[in-house]
Amino acid sequence: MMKNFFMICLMLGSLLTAYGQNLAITGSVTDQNGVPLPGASIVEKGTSNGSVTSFDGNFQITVDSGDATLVVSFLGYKTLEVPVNGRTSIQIQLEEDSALLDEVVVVGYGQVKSKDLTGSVKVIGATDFNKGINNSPGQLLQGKISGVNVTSGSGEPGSAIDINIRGVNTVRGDSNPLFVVDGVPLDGGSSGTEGISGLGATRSRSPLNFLNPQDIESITVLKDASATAIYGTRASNGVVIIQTKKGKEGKPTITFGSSIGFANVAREIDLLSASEYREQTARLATIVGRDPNSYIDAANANTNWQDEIYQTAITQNYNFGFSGGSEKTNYSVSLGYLDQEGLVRTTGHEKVNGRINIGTSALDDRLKLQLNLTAADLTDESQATGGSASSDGNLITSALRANPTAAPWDSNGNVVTRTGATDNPVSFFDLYRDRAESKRLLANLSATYTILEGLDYKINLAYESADTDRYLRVFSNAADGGSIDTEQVTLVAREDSNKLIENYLTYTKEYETFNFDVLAGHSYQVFNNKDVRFRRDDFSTTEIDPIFNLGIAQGNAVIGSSNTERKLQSFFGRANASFLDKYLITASLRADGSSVFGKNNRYGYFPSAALGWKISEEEFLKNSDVFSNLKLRVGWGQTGNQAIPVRVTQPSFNISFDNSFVFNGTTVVNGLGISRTPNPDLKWEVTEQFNVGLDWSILNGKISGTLDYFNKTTTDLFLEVSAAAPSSVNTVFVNSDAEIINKGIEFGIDANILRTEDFSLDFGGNISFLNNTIEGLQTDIFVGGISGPGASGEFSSIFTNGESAGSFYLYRFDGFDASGNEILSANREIVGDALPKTIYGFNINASYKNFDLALNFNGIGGVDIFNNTARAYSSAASLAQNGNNIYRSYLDVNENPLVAPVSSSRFIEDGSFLRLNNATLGWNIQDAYFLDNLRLYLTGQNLFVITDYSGYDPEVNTAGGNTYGVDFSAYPRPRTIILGLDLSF
Amino acid sequence: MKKQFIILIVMLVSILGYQSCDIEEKIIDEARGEDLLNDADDLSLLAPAYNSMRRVYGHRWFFALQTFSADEGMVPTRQSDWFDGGTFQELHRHDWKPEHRYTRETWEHVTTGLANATLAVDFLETGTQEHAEAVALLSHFMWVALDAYGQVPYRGIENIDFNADSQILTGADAVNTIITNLEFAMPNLPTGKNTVRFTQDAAKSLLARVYLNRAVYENRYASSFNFANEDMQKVISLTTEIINSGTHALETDDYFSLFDPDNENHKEIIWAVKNEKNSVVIGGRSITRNTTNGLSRGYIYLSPDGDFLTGSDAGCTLPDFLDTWDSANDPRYFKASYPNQEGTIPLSQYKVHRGFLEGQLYGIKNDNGTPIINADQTIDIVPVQLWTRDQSLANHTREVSLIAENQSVGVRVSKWGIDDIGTNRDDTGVDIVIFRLAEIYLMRAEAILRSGSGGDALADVNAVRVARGGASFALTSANLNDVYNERGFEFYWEYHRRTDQIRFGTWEDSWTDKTDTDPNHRIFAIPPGPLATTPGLVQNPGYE
Repeated sequence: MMKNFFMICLMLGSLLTAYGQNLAITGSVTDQNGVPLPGASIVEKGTSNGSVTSFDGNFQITVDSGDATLVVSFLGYKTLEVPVNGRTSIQIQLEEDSALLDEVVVVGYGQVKSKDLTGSVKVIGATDFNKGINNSPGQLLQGKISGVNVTSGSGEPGSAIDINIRGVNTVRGDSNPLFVVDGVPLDGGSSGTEGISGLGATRSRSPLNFLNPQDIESITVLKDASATAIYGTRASNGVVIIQTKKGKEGKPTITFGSSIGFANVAREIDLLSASEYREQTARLATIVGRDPNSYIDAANANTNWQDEIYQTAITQNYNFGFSGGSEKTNYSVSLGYLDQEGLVRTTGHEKVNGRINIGTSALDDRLKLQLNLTAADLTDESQATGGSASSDGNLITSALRANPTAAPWDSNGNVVTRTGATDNPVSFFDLYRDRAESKRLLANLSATYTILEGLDYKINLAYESADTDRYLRVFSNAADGGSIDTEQVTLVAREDSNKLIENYLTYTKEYETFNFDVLAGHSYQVFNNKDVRFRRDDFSTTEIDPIFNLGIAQGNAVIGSSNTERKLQSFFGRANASFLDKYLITASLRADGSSVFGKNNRYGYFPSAALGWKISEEEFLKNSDVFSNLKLRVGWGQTGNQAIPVRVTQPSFNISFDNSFVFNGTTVVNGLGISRTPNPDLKWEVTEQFNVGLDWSILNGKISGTLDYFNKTTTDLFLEVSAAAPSSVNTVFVNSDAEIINKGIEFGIDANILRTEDFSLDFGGNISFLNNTIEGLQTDIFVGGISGPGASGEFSSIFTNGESAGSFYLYRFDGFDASGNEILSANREIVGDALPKTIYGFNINASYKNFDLALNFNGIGGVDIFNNTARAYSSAASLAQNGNNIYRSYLDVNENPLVAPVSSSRFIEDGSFLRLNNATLGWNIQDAYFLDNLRLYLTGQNLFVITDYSGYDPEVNTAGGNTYGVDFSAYPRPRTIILGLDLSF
Repeated sequence: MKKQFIILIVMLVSILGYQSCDIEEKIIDEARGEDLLNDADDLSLLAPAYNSMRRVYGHRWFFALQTFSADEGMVPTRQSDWFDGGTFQELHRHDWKPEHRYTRETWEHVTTGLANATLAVDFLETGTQEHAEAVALLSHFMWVALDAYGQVPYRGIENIDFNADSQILTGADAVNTIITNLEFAMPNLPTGKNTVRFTQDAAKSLLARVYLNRAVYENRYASSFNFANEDMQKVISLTTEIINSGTHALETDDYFSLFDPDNENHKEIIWAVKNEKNSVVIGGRSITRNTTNGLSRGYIYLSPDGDFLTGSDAGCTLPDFLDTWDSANDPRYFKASYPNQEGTIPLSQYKVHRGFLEGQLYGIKNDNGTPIINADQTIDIVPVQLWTRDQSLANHTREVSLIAENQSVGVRVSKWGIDDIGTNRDDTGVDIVIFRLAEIYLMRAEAILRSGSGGDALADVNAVRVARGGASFALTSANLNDVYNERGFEFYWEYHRRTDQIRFGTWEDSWTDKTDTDPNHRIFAIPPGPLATTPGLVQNPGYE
């Protein structure tokens, strides 16, 4: 320890000494009004020596001599060269670049100046991200972009995020967009859900978990078809392009960040207390003819079961990185460590990830090379909490309904098995284990060669791999009277990988009144998905955990594996042109051929076209005092969806046990059967989208905004329908004539309300209105099997003509009759809307001297939730008959305890909410030794949510896939306080 | 410039190299088996058709349709259990909708059976036993489709074109085709005793059943059926052939042995759907579930392999049906496996009672579900009480309603033997009895009474009654109503009741919580999915 300390002193000493030998300059950088510009770059010209201004705009730099020149740059301002002339103190004022909109936006296979965009595209840079996000990069965007609905299905660390761009436009599968990381389209559908039958399977994990949010430079969301069509058959749900941080020319920047977070259950469900439970059971006992004493557990305790299974979850996060670059080469390296506990005891998420980005140029800068490498090791520990669990075997519902007069431990400190009608929730921690160990790798190497001035050739090679071993283990407690009579260990080893090669040429030419660029390319990507699964029962010992040695299980082994390959070949091209810097035109075409399409339909063609008109450049507006920018965009395009399972286009016969028969009474003869009803005509879904948008800014850019209208129609819907009878396999995959139509209006605004020397105040907001309708289905499609008791084979949701996707289809509840029975409609009907009609977010950023405050709010409206947890367990019958604890709201209704509730609109609740998603208070400490930047911050996540919803949280979907807005045993959402420190030098 | 030229060439080559990237789908983890069709042995080709019978006859499928819609069974909603979207209530009240889960799934299994049997007919060589079996099985699936849905998608048995639309047979066409096909298959079917495979006696049994119900199938919605004399004579001659063959004999000792795990080649059974513990499980739908589901959740029973299991408090029978019984004297009503009262017995004697479980049930003493076994391997027998749910005593009263007042009401039916092993309630060796000699006698008695000629109906009814309860159990006279009741006693929970009630005109009667009188409900709806995609299928009347 002593030695280490000495080493550090030595290092620091040598650093400081090194700076002492040359001319040290201090100074500040401000705008024309004297407002300090934090983060401006100061580089000694001709060297890699550089510095960055601190929060108050001050900087220090040590230059070789008094003759040096400083190059000062800041985004949105004109770069300035300042000769030092021997001064040691320099005040620099930067001039705003009138061409503020020259900001470059990354789009598919290229980049475009923001001012020249013709599509509906929105970029969020690192400074605008939601703060304190350690996982699930999708959450960085929540509430930030109009038309984008980000829903984390559960509060479990690392759980999957539904990102829905401009509504739902498919019936099968989910509606998540295509993710493109540093130019590599990810496989996406790689994180699967596994489970042990009858026990809670945990939901799938976010496919972006391997990325460290700290490493992300920007996220670009391509919303309309004119922007996404270049991605063809994978673009109909929109495209999210993620760029990771690259090194910048200048002196090395070393960054270190750490944070510690404390999370608690934000809102507990309001259940009967033990004393209320005693009162109510005593009252109901006579009605149901049960002995009142029979409800009271022998322990006669007062237990809050939610407190027994939830904990204050601590999250630790450390990030270390260095970056920098010279004229030719830049690099950015980072290492991150995250240890996140879940709110449910024993659950958590641990992640180690590292990233190396290196860029260099050669051959007189004609050849540019870029390598990006990300590796991550993720470990998830979960519990039996998933929505597919049966009535027993689910930790969260067990805790909600456990008898509050029971106790988790007996007088000897041993865990009891039963707590009334349910297994002791605390006993699950020993009985059940779900551990996933995942290794992720994303590597890509690109080379760009400038053949002629303006003509570039680029090759992009990439490899992505996700290798996940998931262990599920459960011990039986049946011998002790518990309900889990399964004893098994399951290992599912999955490996999902893909390889990509892309070649493309771009040509750019600028004339005085006419600019254009063209792109032509080819891409080939091969996806491999394989898994090996083992299941074994009956453990010979419980001394060690069978997940570490499958050999100690001795019962019948189930072994299986699968290995499938998908191939995608694409040709694509695009042309952009601009005339007189006023009129913009873009057209693109992609041809996608995929191995999952039927042999009669191998290639799909996806065109797009868009026009832009910079009205503010016209003579009549050019000198307007009002509009500093006004642009009209009109776009049209077609995109596709190729979420087709492998193999379904090809016939297959098999000899299988599934078709076996025992002819002689003893010997099994496997039967020759047909595996599926093939459809060789199967092809992609087509989504056609029209978009018209207006970008505007007024008052010299102080207030800017966008307004978009879109109309999106998906046809050739990919459905699994009944095969014509009689057929051996009852279903067949077809492209249906049905349509899903999404129409909407999106509005976004940004305003600099105040900017003085000490104080600044900004406001940003967005809102979108969305309407989703289905037409032309031949038969209704029922989705969302209802979990829990008494609901076998019931579905909560429907795809039906004239309604929005996944509308709730249940009996209508019209109150109780005099005897306390539910009054229900004769038939099921549409009783709720699972997709929000309104999505909005707004944020307020303020700073005063060294302190800054950011508040981010987000919310949705016009949406319903099916509270299936309440249906299953919160009724008088559940309490009176089964002794389950129930919601306190039951006290408000006079319900017949002899009859259990039906799945009806009684459990459809308003899912609207407004959340203070994120609040961050930061303090930028001045002049902290050699540090360029030292920042302390306090972030609160989910500080409040305004909602009428009675479950844990209205932002919920435990069903996943094509079912929306269902809450069954949702993992509660945390309220988190994070204290963090970032420094760089 | 030369350098750039070289680079350009390299680029072009690499681009062109990938122009030819292949996107053919190669399936590497599945044998697609084109050659299987040529090499497969006959039994492999036939197995799927037999296997499909197991699904059709699964406990939630044809069983539920025949039993829980009839006056002999009900799955009441028991507080939070067994509502299941109203499926069982709808079955009971006769207000099922076209999308009803179990009418849809049964249709799917029946049409899979039709397709699998048709494939086997096509693959197998005409003139072989296996080909004849395939035709017979096809006929059986056709009969189920006709009986339950009134429409039969059919591809024929010669020159089958799988790409053409199927033909939809109804009424007389369907009946005639079934009869023709069975007569075509008959000569190549085996004679003698074999309860596992379709024999000539099985084909004759099915023919007799079709003739007996022909008047119903040809005029489904009639207010009364006109049973043609020639059909009844066909029934009489076919049943007489089976009875006189001497191949089968009525069980005279233990009625419940017909439904035991080792019932293969039982002397009374003509054909049963073979189940072995090592058979593939069919998705939680074994015949044994009919018993285990109905047992009390508080009743801890011992499975044959020594595991303690509990029931699910599901299905029960109905008071009006029980009232038709001579419960004190009919040995089919109840058979105690151990004294159903407090006491102490050796663990080895602890087996589930058979028949109707009425009144207070007694079972192994336990501590909140943990069975207590005494040191000398005896167990104490105590009143069964639920410990998990409403704590009610397992006192199975006759009175029950569709929304049961507690978990325990309703008389439980323990007819089908239990053969659970381990935790998988689907593993069973109980074969599902389809045709047995008692049915042959009772069909003949019915045909004699309906036609007024051809034999001695009372003797046939009494043949069955005396086999069950001895000479003193014989009736002194037998009319059609006696036959109907006797069928109820003999075949309760055995896939007959709905068909019987329709034929005997009691289907539109009222019973506990059932008042529907709509004759359209004599058959079920065609599910919307296949209705939309199968040319020729039309929705049945009353379901449009």
